[in-house]
Amino acid sequence: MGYITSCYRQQGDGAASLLLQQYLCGQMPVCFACISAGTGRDGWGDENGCGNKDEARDRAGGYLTGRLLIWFRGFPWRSLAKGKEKYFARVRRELEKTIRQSDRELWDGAVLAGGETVDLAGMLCADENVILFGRGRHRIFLLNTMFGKGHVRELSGERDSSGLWFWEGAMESNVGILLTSQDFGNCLSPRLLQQVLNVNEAFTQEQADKRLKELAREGERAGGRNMAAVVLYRREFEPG
Amino acid sequence: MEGVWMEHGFRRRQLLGRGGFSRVYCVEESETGRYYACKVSGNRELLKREAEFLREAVHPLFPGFRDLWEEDETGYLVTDFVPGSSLESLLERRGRFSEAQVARIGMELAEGLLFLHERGGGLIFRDVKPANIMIRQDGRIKLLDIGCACRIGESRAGIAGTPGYAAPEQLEGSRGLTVRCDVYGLGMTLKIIAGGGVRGRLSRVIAACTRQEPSRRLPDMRSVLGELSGCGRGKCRMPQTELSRSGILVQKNIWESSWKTP
Repeated sequence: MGYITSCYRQQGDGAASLLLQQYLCGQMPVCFACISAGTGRDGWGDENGCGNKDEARDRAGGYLTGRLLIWFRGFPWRSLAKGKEKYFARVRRELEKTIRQSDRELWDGAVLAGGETVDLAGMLCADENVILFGRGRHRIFLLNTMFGKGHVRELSGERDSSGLWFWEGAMESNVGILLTSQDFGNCLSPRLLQQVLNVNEAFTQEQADKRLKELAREGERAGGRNMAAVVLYRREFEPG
Repeated sequence: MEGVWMEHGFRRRQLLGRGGFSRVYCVEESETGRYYACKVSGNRELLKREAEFLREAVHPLFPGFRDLWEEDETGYLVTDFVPGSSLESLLERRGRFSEAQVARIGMELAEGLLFLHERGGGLIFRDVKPANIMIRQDGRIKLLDIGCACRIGESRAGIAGTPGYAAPEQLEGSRGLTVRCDVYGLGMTLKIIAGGGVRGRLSRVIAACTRQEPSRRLPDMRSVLGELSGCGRGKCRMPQTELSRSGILVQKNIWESSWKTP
């Protein structure tokens, strides 16, 4: 069992920050991905004392993904791979703690005004377990191919007072998950989504890259800005 | 002198420290009761420069700028007060830090310095050392005293820094300093707080940061961050591209942040 992943990030002012880490811990595949940008509110700018809106978004998104990267690299994935289930309960707790800690640090450092938060969409997959998380306007889509037909749905969970939500579950084989920034998600029709997320037995890394690039081209044609996306497909094979 | 403080809405509390050209006091804002640090110096140009750099260094690693004024040929610079202990005093009290702690401190510093180099006006800090690093009770780090900083490539930056921590080219007064000065300062700081017993990957990272010849050092804080992220966890090393003895294969390692190079 393994994952095929691909990512896309549009360059330019106010570009989203993107994190994609993929490991194989013994026989257990682990994937951690996050897109972060924006502040979740329109019209936010100089009056909040943080200067230009794009610049603040740049700093905040980059800082948050950097913090998540440091956490991910410090987590004992090898212990989890050895079947110590208690470590997986830690994953969700530590992930949430890291996000909230980063929020506080950004408020403390006056990068964001107090209470303002960064949009984010993320996933953490270990074997067939998956944790999805999000906040703000970024979007997460899941394709489920049970019963032979592909069915795309947007995922979300119960939001807390800051808008942060988590969703935990298990992935069947040949499932696709797509994280997108707000603009990117808005450019996608259900038909297009289904095409991107649908996988077959012969699906390869090259096909995954190609599909995401096609999606990105559609988004650019539609005038999307600050677009970013990560796609993951769960496959029943050992990735090469 | 108390009148000066009161005029600007502060009450002086205790003296926090003295430098070559300045004194730093803890002051209380009359209206809110909050505490701040106030640097007082006869060198008003230096204080103005420090204030300018602080305004650009808007990042959790650096204390925030609050106020600046002059009175009777003396400058007053007010910034966030950082309660806690300096790395220097912690080192004296408890001895050296563990490899994991050194790696964590190094990564936090590298992250903030990366911001300063690439987004905070393109500045080189030039005075990274344990005495300038505060550790708060919640474990977060602040880097103080940005007064020695200069712009990247500035040809008339002058000589600045602390012997033992400053890169050789800094103390020689070389023109066109680069971010590798801070790589050196960070490396020396980690070397000191790790003590003499550091081995393995961390010792190689420190060595790569503290080479005398700038072109042979790690080139920037991105590289330092990448190297340090593989240190400090004996059971869970994260090599960049190869199968490690711990059985972890890194298949993808992508982090595209929104930092931009000048």
